[in-house]
Amino acid sequence: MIKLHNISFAYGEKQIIKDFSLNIEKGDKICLFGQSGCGKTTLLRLILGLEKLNEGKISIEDGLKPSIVFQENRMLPFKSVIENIILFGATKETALQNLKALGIKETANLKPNELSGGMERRATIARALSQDFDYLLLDEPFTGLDEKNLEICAKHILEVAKDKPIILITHSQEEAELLNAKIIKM
Amino acid sequence: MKQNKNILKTTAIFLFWLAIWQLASMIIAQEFLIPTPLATLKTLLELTKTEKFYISVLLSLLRIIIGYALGVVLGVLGAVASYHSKLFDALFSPILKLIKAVPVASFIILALVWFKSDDLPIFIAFLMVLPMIWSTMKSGLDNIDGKYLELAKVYKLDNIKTFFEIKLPFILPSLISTALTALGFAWKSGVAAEVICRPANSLGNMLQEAKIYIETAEVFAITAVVAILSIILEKIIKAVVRRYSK
Repeated sequence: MIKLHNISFAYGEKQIIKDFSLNIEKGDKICLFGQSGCGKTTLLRLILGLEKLNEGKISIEDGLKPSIVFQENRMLPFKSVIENIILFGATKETALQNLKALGIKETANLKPNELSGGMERRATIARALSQDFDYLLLDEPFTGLDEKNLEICAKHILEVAKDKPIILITHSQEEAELLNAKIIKM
Repeated sequence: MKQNKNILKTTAIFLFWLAIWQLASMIIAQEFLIPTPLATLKTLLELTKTEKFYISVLLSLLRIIIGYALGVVLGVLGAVASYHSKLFDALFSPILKLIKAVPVASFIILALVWFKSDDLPIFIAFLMVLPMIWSTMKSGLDNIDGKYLELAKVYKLDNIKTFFEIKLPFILPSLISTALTALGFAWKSGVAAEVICRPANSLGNMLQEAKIYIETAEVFAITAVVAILSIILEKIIKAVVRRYSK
């Protein structure tokens, strides 16, 4: 579904990714592991087309739609949680289902600044899961979540994206295991 | 309780300055230099009995509102075009700088040659508002955090939705604040243009006539009308914004 052929990327003089290849098939769960600054987030940005490759090629099957949990929440401050979710194409029903599954249905009409850090993170995950997507990119999605909510979120992500590829970035082996992800060192 | 206190405070301040005005007019003791507050009020009441006064107020308001609205609409559109096209931005930014740098009186005199006297206040109000709105809108667009626009890109949000649902709400608070300041500028420069070009039915023309006949009380009364209308206009716009931003 998604193929990375010998890709390289540099910010100016600084080489971030060098000659990296990866093949992601339907249902694959992959966890990118590596030190800070080794290019994990950049790799997700390259897949999304937010950065331009220097060398190599990324092939994604035609019409495949991504969804993402960025490292930062990126919730629009002037919209309620539910508005933040449906703005990007999700239906209200799906959004409410996901909020409920993550235990924050009551926050639907609240603004992001009225939520605790953990609630906002879960709302961000709900936003990604509520969209119509074919593959899911997760950049440290569980930051700020306690153990109980981490497990709830991981379980729900697996339910929603059961047959869909997931690329996870995390520094925690436990999180990778919760998503049954195969670890790839960068 | 707090509201009563505020009303009391405002009234006290108003009475203080009224007393200073009364004192100044008593010391100078020449009505044509500083009329008393009472004489000004009497003149104002006399003015409100004439049909000409209402026609002048309405037409002055109409001219300035047309100029203001044109400035806001074209300022917003111009900024959006500048944001999307570097060529457009490069072409128009020197013009905006020029408009900002040239004194309004120079434009009024120039425009006297180009426009009918009825249209000149519209043009001047427009000219005052345009660069203010354009600059605010453009810098607002330039400073939107790209992280939110990346979300729009990832989920392929169309340009119209991205503009109205993401970009505009970020810019709106500063745009509204500038629009309110611009209203004051439009109103003052519009009346100043009327004073110079003297359209038949206008507050500016009434001011100029009062000055020629050394009717200082009338000058004061009309100035008070101009100030009161400016405050009312600002309050109306604030109320409209409050209603639609809910």
